[in-house]
Amino acid sequence: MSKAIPFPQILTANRLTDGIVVFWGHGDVWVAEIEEAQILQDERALSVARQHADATAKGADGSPVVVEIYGISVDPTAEVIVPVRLRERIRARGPTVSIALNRSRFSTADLFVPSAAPQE
Amino acid sequence: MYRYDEFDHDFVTQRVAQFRDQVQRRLSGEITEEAFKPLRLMNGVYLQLHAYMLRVAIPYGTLSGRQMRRLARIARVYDRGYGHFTTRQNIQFNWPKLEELPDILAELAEVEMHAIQTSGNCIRNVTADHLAGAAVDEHDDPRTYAEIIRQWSSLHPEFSFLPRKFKIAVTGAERDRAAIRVHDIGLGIVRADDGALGFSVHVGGGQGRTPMIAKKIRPFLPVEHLLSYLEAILRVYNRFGRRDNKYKARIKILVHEVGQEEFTRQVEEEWLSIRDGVFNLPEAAVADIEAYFAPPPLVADPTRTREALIAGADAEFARWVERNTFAHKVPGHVAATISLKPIGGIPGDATAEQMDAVAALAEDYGHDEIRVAHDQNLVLPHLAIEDLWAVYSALKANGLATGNVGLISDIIACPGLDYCALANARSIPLAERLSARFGDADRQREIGDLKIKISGCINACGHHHVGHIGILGVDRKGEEFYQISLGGSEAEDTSIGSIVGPAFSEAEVEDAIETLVETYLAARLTPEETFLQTYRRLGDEPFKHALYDQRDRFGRLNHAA
Repeated sequence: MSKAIPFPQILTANRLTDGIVVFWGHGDVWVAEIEEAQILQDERALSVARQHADATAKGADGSPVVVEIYGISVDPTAEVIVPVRLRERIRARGPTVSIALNRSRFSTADLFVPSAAPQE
Repeated sequence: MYRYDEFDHDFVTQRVAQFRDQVQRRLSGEITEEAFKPLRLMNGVYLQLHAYMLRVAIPYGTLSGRQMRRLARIARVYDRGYGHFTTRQNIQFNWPKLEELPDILAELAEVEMHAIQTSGNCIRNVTADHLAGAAVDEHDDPRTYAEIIRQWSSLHPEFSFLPRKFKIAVTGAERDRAAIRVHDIGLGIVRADDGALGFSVHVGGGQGRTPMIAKKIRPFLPVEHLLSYLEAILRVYNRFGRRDNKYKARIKILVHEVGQEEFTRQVEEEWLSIRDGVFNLPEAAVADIEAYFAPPPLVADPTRTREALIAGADAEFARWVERNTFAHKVPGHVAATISLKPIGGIPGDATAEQMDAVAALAEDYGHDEIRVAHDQNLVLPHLAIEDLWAVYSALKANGLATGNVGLISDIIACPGLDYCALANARSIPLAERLSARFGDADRQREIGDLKIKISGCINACGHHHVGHIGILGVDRKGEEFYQISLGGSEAEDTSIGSIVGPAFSEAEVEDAIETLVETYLAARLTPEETFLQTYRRLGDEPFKHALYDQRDRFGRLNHAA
């Protein structure tokens, strides 16, 4: 039986060519939208995903695709994929400010903060 | 300004070619990220929260219209249409693609710019007074010496692997507009009684985790000994600075641990062995560099004054002249600050269009010279008073005419958690909200000089330790909280702010600042007494009391004080 983990995880990295934030998605590919990330519920799933993801970060056989892969805890109670940490929520959505609009792009309330976000 | 010679051009061109090759080999997988990371950092390329970030060096914050236009082009073509001017007079681009970085660096090289030594454990951009060469109160133009130091420190073979980053600042007047006392080395130009020029040498200042004010280890260093003395300081640091602990690796820790007296003794001992040798600066060598900073051909016009201009002028324009212009050496002229702090906007950011507009103004009215100030504003250092209305009108059309220099809405904020991988909290949204809250022009003038500085983490890139009101964003159980400190100053009366009490939540901190302002207004002896003066006269007590003791019967902070 696979070991339980405190929170479901998704994997994230930065795309090598342009630095953009990506997530390990269905079909074992890196995707730009957090909604398409694979949710890894236990230690074994996490380990398998991590192995496959790590392979894409190497060079030699194929050009490396990503750098700095790590896991993000996500809220198990939310209907959409919501990272637990504020930092990761901002990283997934982009800066909360925009010079083009000369005001905040969206309020903190929009930053998917569910009413009882679990603390890591 | 300094112009590249053949050697400089060759060097940056080769450097770009070298980096292009390194990027190619990284993209193909031939070199690993571990091997590549130090190489990209040597060209100012970071990997931040959302993307790569490129920090371009703007030596002592000086650039031409052509260079500004190139920065605009890079923002437009390679980035998302804007850039951010930093507290070390550099510019940062937040969205460059690694595969395009060699092209970006090549375009920068064409206009004599680069991103070398804007990262890593080496000597970084030497910053200087943003009013250098213009200010009526300066002894001498600090940029001559900043350029000399830049040349000496670029790719210095012995100092490319220091224990940690190293930051030097130079100011040319008694008024310290370069924050020299919170730098690793701060140099103030001074005149001896016989009129000879020299430097007061301050070592071991800094902010971050352990803020410290630099120690003046030598009150007067003759100009000819500038490089040999710096060499001696760096040698002592390089040898004895701590390499075992990243958080104790700056020179300020070394000075603190060995003590000012012993540190000075070590430096002087090292210096004795190298002074009057290869590092000596003969007058002719200084004159050669000084020639690059020859003042523009300004014609004095004592009939034109700011006072005359303000009288009977459009109220907003008058406010702008009053707040944003600074007395120039040459009568009939001013240095003018272009505020990058629009009310309710992001501090220090400029769009490509705005950069182009500034370039045009510099070219048409400003003798083609622009400065980046460490408070994240821009400066046109040489403007004729008779041209100010035209300049102001153009600035206004581009959203650059906020007359708020030194006022409460002239906030310094680091990029914070919106951009930076190191941050614990966001700083920009708070800056925007505070700016909007206190944005009314009359209210700002009533409050007067008040510098708010916001950092998103303890690294203090927002310089919160030296804010009259400093705000430090912290993470408390996953939420953003803000700790307030009071009474910091970056000027010649440098002081580190003291923390006033427990941190405030994001929802409460705006009201807390309001409480501080109201407390000050009620307590000041005259309208001329500034926030800092009132604080220094009264201390923490009235402010602490207002923030933490005045609660209504529901336990809420009373802001109606």
